[in-house]
Amino acid sequence: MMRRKMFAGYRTAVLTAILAMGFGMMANAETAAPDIAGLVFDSKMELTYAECFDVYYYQDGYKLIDVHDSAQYLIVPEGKEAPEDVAEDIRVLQQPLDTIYMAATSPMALFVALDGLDQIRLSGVDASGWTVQEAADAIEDGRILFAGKYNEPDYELLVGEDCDLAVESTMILHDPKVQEMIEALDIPVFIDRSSYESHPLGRTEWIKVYGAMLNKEDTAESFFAEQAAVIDEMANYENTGKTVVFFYINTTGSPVVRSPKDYISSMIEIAGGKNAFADLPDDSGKTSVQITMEEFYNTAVDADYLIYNGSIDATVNSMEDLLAKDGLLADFKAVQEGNVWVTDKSMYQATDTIGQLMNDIHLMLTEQDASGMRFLKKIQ
Amino acid sequence: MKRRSSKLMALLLSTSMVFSPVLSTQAENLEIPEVEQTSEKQTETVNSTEEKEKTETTEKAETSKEEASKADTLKVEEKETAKQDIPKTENKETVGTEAPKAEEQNQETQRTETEASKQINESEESADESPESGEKSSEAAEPVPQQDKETALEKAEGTEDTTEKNENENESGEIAEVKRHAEEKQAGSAEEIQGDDGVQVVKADGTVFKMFAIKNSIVVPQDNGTYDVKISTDNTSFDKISLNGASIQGEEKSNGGWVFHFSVNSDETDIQIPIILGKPDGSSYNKAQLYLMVPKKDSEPQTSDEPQTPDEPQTPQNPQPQAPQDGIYSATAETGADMFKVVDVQLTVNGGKMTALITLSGTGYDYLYMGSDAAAGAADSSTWIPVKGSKTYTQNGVEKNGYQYEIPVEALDQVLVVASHSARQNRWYSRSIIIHSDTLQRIGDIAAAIPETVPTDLTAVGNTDTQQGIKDEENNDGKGKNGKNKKKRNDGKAAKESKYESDLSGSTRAVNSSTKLADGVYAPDSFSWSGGSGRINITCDKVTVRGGQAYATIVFSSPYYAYAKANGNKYQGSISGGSTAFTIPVELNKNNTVIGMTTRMSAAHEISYTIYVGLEEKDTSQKKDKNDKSDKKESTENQTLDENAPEITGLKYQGEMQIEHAEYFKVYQYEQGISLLEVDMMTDTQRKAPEAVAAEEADGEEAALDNMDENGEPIRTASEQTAELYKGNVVKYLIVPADAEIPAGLEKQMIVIQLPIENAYVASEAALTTLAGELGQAQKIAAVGQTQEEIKDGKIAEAMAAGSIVYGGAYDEPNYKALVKAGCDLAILPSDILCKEDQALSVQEQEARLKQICEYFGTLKVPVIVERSMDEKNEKAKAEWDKVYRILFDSDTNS
Repeated sequence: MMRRKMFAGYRTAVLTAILAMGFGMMANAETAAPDIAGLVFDSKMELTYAECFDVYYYQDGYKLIDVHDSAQYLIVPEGKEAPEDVAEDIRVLQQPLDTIYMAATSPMALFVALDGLDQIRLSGVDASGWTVQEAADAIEDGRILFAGKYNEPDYELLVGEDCDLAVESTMILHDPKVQEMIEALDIPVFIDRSSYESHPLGRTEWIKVYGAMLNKEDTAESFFAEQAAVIDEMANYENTGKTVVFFYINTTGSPVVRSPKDYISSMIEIAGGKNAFADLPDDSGKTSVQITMEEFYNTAVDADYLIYNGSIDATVNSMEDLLAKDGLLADFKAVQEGNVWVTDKSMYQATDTIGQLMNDIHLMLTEQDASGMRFLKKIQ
Repeated sequence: MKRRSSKLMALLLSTSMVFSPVLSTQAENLEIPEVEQTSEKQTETVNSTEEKEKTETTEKAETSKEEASKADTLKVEEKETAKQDIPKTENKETVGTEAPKAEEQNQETQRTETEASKQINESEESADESPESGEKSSEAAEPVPQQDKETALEKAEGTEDTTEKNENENESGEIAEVKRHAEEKQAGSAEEIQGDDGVQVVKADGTVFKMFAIKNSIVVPQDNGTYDVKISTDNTSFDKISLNGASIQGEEKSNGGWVFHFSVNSDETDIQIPIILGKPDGSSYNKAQLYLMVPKKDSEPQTSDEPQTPDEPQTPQNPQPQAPQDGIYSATAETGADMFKVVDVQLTVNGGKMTALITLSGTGYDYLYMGSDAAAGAADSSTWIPVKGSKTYTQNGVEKNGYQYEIPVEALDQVLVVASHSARQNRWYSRSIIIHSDTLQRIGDIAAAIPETVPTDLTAVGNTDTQQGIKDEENNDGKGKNGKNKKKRNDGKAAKESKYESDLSGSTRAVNSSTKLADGVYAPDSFSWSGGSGRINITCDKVTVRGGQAYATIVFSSPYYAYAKANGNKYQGSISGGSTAFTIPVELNKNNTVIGMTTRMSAAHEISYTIYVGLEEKDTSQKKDKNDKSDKKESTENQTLDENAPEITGLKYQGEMQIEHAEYFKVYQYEQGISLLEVDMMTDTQRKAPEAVAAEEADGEEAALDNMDENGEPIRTASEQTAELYKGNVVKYLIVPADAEIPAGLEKQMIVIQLPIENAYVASEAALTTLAGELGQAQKIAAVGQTQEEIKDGKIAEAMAAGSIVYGGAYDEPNYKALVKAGCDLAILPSDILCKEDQALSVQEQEARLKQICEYFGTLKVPVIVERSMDEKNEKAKAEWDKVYRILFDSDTNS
């Protein structure tokens, strides 16, 4: 009974939050939309969890994607032109966008979910680098061409294929000259920031951005709604109080954990666990934080569960592999109790179904049948 | 909304807590025989441990009950109920701890197969750079906005699906390693000690160092003023403690923890004694300075509860190693702390006595003292070691200054207790230094003079990795130093060919490594290379000739190169520090293909390189024959046009093209019809000297280049390298006919223009007139810098109407998309692009525009030539620029 009450309270809180957002949106709808000379504002896209972007709709099919703290992109419908006085820093994406260079990896799964794979012509990763099977197949078949990795693109190929959009991850910010060169070739660059979302479903909600680019908003909506249903189920989960450490050891031997505001940290909480590093002070804005082995040891040695991020480092498949990373791990409670799990290497690119990780974590925490897990595997 | 079936599953199943321990126990039981099998496979000592332990089972059972560390209650119960299982369980634990340690060692010394996580930074084929902290890796440290994204993307790049295959290949190597290390280990039979005398290992702030928590300790004052100390810990990772110059090897307990036995002086109680904790693989904890705290005790000896066999305090395990042969060596040293870093060591051994000239990372300490901080404070100031000098070094592209001190070195591989005095705070800090004998590299003899200088070699400039060479490279761009180089010396020891197996892939072919040189060890005259993405550096300072065959020892500045394919074979690398070395047969003075296999990502990744080892194949007793080259060889670097032909490794000089009137270019001719074109981009323009520009850039901008490899070489991508070449006063172009072969790596020194040119972008009207008219090369022009309406030449206008020549944008605003579409392979710009007066843009803006244009073309791999015929003083000089066009377009009629 207590349990029910607690979670009724939780549900109300969530609902209230959503309603508040709704009210907020209605109130701000008119004032928040950027003013673009020559365009008449129409409506703003409704978002549930995503906080890193907004999409504004104008009349005649024009749309503005505003990626917070990054850039604004004006989608111009096919057959029409961008307004004359559009601000210089707004990048123009001319529809149809059907010869895309996908140099980031997270959006691929979303494109597949949108049935928009055909609009991608070039890839920044070769077939073997994709865990999204459809992408790997497309490269094998020659429907998508490998055009060089994000910081060494084959410019001739891009120009030769008439690429009309380059979708990059924030990694491109390290090679600004490459971005400049691509733009100098008249190819607009869109930087995906879905991994900056702190809510796991916020990440999946980016499908709506790409839905807007491809005029497939309806498909985006329904796919997202399906994934969001996972949250409903979580509402009944009691917090087990068990502590979880989500980490990997990098090549220099240092442990890397998630920032407490990151979406994986959120998932652990929603699934009924506690992120052992919830108090990690970190305002770097990064999703992962490298710490010293000593700091890691202090906090993680008594944690109930260890989850090793196999999507970044796929070398840990057994307890032996884990201890090979650092012998100190043998002292850890989770190791000694055999509660060490590893994520599937496809996890990183599974932007579309990442919400299921929450389910997996919940099964892990409540010691239920692990065979239903999508991303987690216990190691021996 | 659909309900998930997993929810139903969740409701259905509910394994209780009761079942899971049982399951895990059973799992353990099942595991044990497996472990036993592997352990039998692996080591003999482990088996003997088993036997030994069988005789001590009862004691063990009791001690292990007491230990009951973590949640091992089940295990303990197991032990009680099934005594014959005890050795196995402990075996398992021992093996369990051995394996990771052995693997750790394997990793650290080999750092090959098991290492597979990605962290950008570094190494060849790691995404950027840096992106990432590391390397850097790794090689280079780069801040990253998102580590997971980067590493995942790095992983996504070029990983082949051979992970499993790779791991299997590695396993046999690993098992062999584990075997070896397990054999070397002592049996884990040390008994737990009983005592609560409060010895602790603490950090500088006095807090207990958790990773080495002392469980029990016994302190027994002796008659001679020392304290006999025994400590035990359950932490498994550290098996050695170094203090007071001695290294104490611990004895392993049955649970993997350690017991240590040593002495301290009575005046060392209640104070922090600096120590270094060592790991079984030979490395040690170096993240912070650690100290031992031994509380003072009364003189009554404590009686222990259990009978213990009295034994002598352990003598240091490492007897003083003999000093190396007399000579001067470079070495690396390890200290316990980041606040006290030794960046350079020059060890002098004279008559068996050793001293070291060490360079610290900073200038905060004005004195050192060979002893603890307390001792330093008490000692007379005449015994303090003052700063001897200072040295500049580079870290991450930034030049830094560090003080130097000359210290006596009692022994290598041992802790030297040092104290450093902070000038500002006027206090002493306890430090420790260990100079590693395995890092010694002989650099000179005691009575040796300064190594000889060799005449400037154009190609050697960027590729040497001597300290001087590094500075040359850094100062070279734009500053134009005299570029004198010291030929890199090696240790003179003949290198053995790396182990290899035949490579059936056929990706490399057998090379003809025979040479006329006498057997011996040589330093190459030059070494250059190309390939890869610019994340690592390759050096070669040794060529061994054996049986008339030449073997070059090439070193990759990354520890992740497990194999290199060359000569039709697959060679195994030897890894030390942050580099991998291969000794392979090479054909001297010719390009050789080497395919490096990096294991930075989770699967093997092959990268192709071309190397060129230049070594004159004459009798070494003969002096260099200077007759076949021109008088002086000093290149002016890129400051002014060379007065005499620069030496280009591997290319024989043939003559200078007669240029009688023109002042802004020169042409030197080499074998195979190769020409070196030098264009003066600075004289008579408003451009500022590159030094001034570089200084401004350093002040104003963030250093774009923060990548350095371990040797301090700046790591640049090909585009960055090219961009640098355009920054000089003089830009040099190597014009190479289609069938000529040039040594790999020359593109790092000059812009390489590969003939034939077929799709030039000619934005200079003067050049267009000559090319379309007199030289009749209109068909080799693909784009011009004027619109069809602006074009004067009728032929060109026609071609534009027909579409065979396009408008490529004005010279100051090229349309890169159109140029790429047109397949542009050369850009000729007018000298208006150089900073002139009376232009709409300021000099600074013009400079930025020029830089931007060169960068974009550089990225697109299109060479840019600024033709300065309009700046020449008279018609004759102007006309001489035709010679340049003839070379570029009409290779048949070289005048």
